[in-house]
Amino acid sequence: MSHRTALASLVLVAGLAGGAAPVAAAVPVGGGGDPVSEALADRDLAAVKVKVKDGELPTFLWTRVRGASTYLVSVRTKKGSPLWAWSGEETKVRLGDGLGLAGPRITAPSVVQVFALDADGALVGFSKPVAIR
Amino acid sequence: MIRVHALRKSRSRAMAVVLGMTMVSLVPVPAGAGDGRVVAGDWSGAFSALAVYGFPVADGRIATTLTAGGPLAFTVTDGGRVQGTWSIDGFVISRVSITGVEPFSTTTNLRANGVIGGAGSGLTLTVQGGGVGPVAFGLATVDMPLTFATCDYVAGTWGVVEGAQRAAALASGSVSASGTWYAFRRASPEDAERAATIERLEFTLREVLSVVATPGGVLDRREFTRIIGEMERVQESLRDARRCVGRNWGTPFAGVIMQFLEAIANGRIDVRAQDLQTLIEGGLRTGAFVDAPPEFEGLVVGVLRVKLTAARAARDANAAEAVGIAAALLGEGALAAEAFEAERSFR
Repeated sequence: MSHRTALASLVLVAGLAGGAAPVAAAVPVGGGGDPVSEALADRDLAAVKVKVKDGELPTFLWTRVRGASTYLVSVRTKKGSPLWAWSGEETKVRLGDGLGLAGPRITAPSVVQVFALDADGALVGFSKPVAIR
Repeated sequence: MIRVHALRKSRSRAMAVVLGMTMVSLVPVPAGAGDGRVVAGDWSGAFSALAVYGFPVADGRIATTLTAGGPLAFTVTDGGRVQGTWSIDGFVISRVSITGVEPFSTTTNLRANGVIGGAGSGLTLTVQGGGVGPVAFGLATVDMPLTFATCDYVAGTWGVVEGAQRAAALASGSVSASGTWYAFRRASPEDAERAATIERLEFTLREVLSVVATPGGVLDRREFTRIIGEMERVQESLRDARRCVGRNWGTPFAGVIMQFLEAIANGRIDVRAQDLQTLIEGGLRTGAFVDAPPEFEGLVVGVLRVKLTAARAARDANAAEAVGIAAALLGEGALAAEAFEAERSFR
């Protein structure tokens, strides 16, 4: 294998495949006091609705968005300290995902926020922060 | 052996400088969330090295990323004595840019091994042999203190003493070297195999990240995410999670990603805003910000501000949006809002 081929084999820039079935229309989301939501409020972005299922490890569920191939989940304290992030094609994830009990825990009042990205990584939807506990 | 072109001498000399410094002149970096010693038992893990260096040649420049990783295994006695072995395999990617010649890259392998000793609060690696191309390692020791410990998982980092870094920079243009290590306590025979799986995944992760560290490289986001997901599934089965409830959490990939984010923050590596967003996301997912010193998050936010300034100058809406998303992940609402406002004004 040549050097160029060896390097090229490392640079397999895969696009984000997917193409989830759309269920949410592009409806602007209100601000609600969150600076991120307020900054995005008047853009033509879909509203992502998030639900939290409490438990030893909370599970987050959200609605699909037209044109989204990846969802990016942000968990942080209400004071703004980041706790965890995750991305994937699914519309449901448990805190820590595969780490399970070996992963992060909620130890302070926190929120979850979901961003929907298209195949190029561009924002196509977002949720307001939702309280975890 | 190193495969070289007409630039063999220059690159070999630079590599000798870097490897000599990497293996001999290491000191602890500031400790993070360490909270204990390595408990007695058998442990398996890996350690890694990352060096980024560049130097001028006639009519051009060579920028090189050295990344290496390998397994380590050791036993801690009830008295805290550590005994074990390590080995390391890695590769070097060099990007050669010379006037009149189309830029090209080369890949080189390296290998080394040694023994582990020391007290239960950290490890000392002794290099017995091995080398890269014409460069052979001498007998040297590397102190690798703990920065993170739970009942079944320990991790640490190491870095190059500033004086040696400066001396090497004078000799070769610019250079930096640092590394991470981690180990899992083996509670069952199968754990050694699982730890080896994580070590192999980490090597693959380093390959993906090395491309980003090379000038012009782009992160393979899908592969990056896939590797992290696989590591999580193996780690959950490996760790005695119930025993460790209430303790800090961290993963073996936290150190690797923190290392790259630090290199970016210190200007040793430059990446696209979109790739920085992915690295921050990966850092949060793997616990890089849990292990990190308190100033680490501020450094990363500083890089985001620089990226936003660059996006404004270039009127790059995609880069501004990536900064906004990354800032939101870090809980930097004001910066995120600023970036999203900039992004909107460019479209």
